[in-house]
Amino acid sequence: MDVYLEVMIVDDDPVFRLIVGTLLKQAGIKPPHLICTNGEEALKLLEQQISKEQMFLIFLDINMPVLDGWGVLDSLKNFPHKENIRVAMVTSSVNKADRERALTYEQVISYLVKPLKREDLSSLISSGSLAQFLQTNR
Amino acid sequence: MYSAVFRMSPDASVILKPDAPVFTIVDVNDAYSDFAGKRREDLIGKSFFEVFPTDLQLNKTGKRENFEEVLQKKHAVTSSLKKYRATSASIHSWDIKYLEATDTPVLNQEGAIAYIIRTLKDKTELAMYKSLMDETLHVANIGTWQLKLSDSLLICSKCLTEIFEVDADFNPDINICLNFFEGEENRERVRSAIENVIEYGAPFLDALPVITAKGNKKWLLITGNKADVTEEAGTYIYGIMQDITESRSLTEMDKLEKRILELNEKQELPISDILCEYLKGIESLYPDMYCSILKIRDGRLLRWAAPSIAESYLSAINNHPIGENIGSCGTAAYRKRPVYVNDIENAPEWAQYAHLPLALGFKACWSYPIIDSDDHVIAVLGMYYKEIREPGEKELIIIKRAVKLLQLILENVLKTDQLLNANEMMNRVQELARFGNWQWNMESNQVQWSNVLYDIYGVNPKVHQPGFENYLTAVHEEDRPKVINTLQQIQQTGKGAVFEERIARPNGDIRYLKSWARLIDSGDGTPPKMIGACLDITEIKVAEMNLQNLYDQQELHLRQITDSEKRYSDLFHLSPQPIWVCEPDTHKIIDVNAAAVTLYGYTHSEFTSLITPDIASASVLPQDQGPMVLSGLHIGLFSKDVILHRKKNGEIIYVIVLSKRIELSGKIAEVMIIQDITEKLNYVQAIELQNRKLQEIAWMQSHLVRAPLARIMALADLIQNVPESGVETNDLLTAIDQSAVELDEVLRPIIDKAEQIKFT
Repeated sequence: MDVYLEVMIVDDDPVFRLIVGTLLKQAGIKPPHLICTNGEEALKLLEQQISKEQMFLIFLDINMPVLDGWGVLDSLKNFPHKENIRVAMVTSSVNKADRERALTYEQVISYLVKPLKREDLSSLISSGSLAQFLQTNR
Repeated sequence: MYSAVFRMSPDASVILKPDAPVFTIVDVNDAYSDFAGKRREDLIGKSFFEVFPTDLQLNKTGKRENFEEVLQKKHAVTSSLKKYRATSASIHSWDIKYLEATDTPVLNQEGAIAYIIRTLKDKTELAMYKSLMDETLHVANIGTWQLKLSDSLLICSKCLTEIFEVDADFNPDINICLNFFEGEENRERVRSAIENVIEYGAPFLDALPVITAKGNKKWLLITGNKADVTEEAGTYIYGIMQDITESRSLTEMDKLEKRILELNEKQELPISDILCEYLKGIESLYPDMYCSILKIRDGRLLRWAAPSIAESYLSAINNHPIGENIGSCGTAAYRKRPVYVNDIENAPEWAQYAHLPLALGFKACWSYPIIDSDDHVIAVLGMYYKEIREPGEKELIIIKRAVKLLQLILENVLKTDQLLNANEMMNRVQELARFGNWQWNMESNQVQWSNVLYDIYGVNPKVHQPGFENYLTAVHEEDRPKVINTLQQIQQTGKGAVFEERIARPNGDIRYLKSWARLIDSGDGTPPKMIGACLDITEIKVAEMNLQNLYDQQELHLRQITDSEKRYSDLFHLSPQPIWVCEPDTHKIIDVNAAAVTLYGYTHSEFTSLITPDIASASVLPQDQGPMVLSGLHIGLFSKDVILHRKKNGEIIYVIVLSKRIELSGKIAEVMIIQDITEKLNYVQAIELQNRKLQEIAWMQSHLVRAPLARIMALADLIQNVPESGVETNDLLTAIDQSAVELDEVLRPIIDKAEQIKFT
């Protein structure tokens, strides 16, 4: 079965959207990337595009207007084809409680602290969690 | 001559010519002329049917036919007995006559009929006698029967069919008739008796029970004998059957009463068993009847004997007060006269209680009070029936006899019981009293004792010699002076005295006596005697002493309890922990200690006018504090629920209440131990508040401060390391500037919050 990986960047801050997109390009994940400025936009887009053949890797900020990152994670718990979705949290929060809380969600594979660095993305891409995710669904 | 003889004949006769259909009257004799009430001259030469157009018969059938038969057969024809209304000597009255008419042909030499002579014979007396016999048999309940052996048919008289309660034309086969006799044994007796009659001609007489076609039991006296054999009738046996049910019941009743009187005389059985035996006997004589005898004592019905009535019914009515409309028996006992209830379901006497007998199928009940010679109702005889019915005359006779007998027996029994009880009570009193008396002839110093006195002193009357010195020796040495003094006083003053003394029996036992003594002066100059009596009151004294010991022990125990209570009271009142005691149901505060008074600000008397809910005031808990206090601290810091109490000054305090139920003066009370945690809770609340502020600072640092900071760092990195990002450097620098301003704005409130935190 042919499957496709889509990358989504969800952040209300345009600087961070730019930085994440640039670093992804440098890491070999070329655009177009799906861009959303809050959680609600992200969920709508996902509902439209998610399918059995479509995988998503989402770079998700926590503190956003309309619907924050936690709201998105809660919704993904019962999302159709949720097994095709993985999330990397990208946030300015260094709060330990936020990190621990984020990692309790089944689909979160990484917790990255802003400002995002190239090494962080390299580690994520080469991480076992993402490799296993891509392998399982390919 | 013959003509004269004919005319003088006492039998009424008329001579007719055979000139049918005229039948001319040739001659009539004087008897016929008298009987017809006509002169001879008015009859002769006229047609028989012209003169007697309606004849003299009341029943006309068979008249002309008789003449026709005579003409045809040329021999005499006798008609069956006919009832006539004949004129008597006095013309104005009519007599009923039973006549038998015989028409005899007189033949001439050629053998032809020359005349027909009609002769009337008066059979009135015979007929009357037969009628009288029938009526007599009927009144005596005697039926006759005849058994023709040729066809085994039993011909029954009308009365016999009535006895068997079958239709009047009942003439069954003998084997069917045998089935009326109750039991195979009785049927065999009848069968055997009939065989003996047939074979040996031995007549029989027996009394046997039968069950009639309607199911009623009757007793029959039956006789049978063999009849003379005639050619016409063949061999048959005949006899009578008499209904002797009633007389037999009376006979059986006689036997029953005799047996009951014998049982009562022997006194071997308790009266209740005798009564049961009697009622069983009555019930066997009257199978439809269910009997009971209830004793009346203190105006109540008490079960005494009822052999065939269900236990449940007797239990239900037992000990019920008598009164108007308290069933048949209760009402009869109350009214002192018989009560006949023919239909229990609709009788006012049973209005409230009909369900009890109806449950057993009883529909009628008759009750007779048994009244003794003092006009007291001592019992009630009740008779129940399972059908609606009125008492019959025969039953009333039996019942009245039963009532008389019961009156006799029961009054005797009750009077005997009363006497026995009185004697028994007297004996017991004498035994229990331990009362003895004495007499002292002071001059001769002779003393006489009653038997009980020897027993009291524990000495053998055959050996012991009573005397004043012996008496004083027996008196306890401590009591001896008092006794001597008392006796001297009696002698000096002549006044009687009552005193108590102790005596010692030969075996060492000490007995306590209460004595009376006084002088008896006969007034005839003889020296006075002293008489006295004494009562052994040892048991009373011992009981008194035991009672005193018990009282002393109780006093001691009471003192200990009082001491103990005082200790507990001290613990209660001096405890630094606020405590009060309240009633568990009303929550009314009964007692409160000083610590509680101090904490809450109420006085002791104010406290005891409050109930616990007056103090508990959870409703005033501020909305923003309540959930935090009650939920946050409940699990971790306190083992009990934290509740709010209001002091007298209105201040709210946080407390934990430990409660326990105890018994206080025989009642359940609730002890409430109050732990004031207000201070502790305030401290905890302060820490909680501080923590919340710190958490807010941490969150602001993490999210609000780091956001612009991270953006600055990222922009700097972008400028330095990613020149191909596609964004103008000036734009990036402007963004860095904006982020710095944002960072400054965020830091100001954080500093304010940090200043609010007071570390203690």
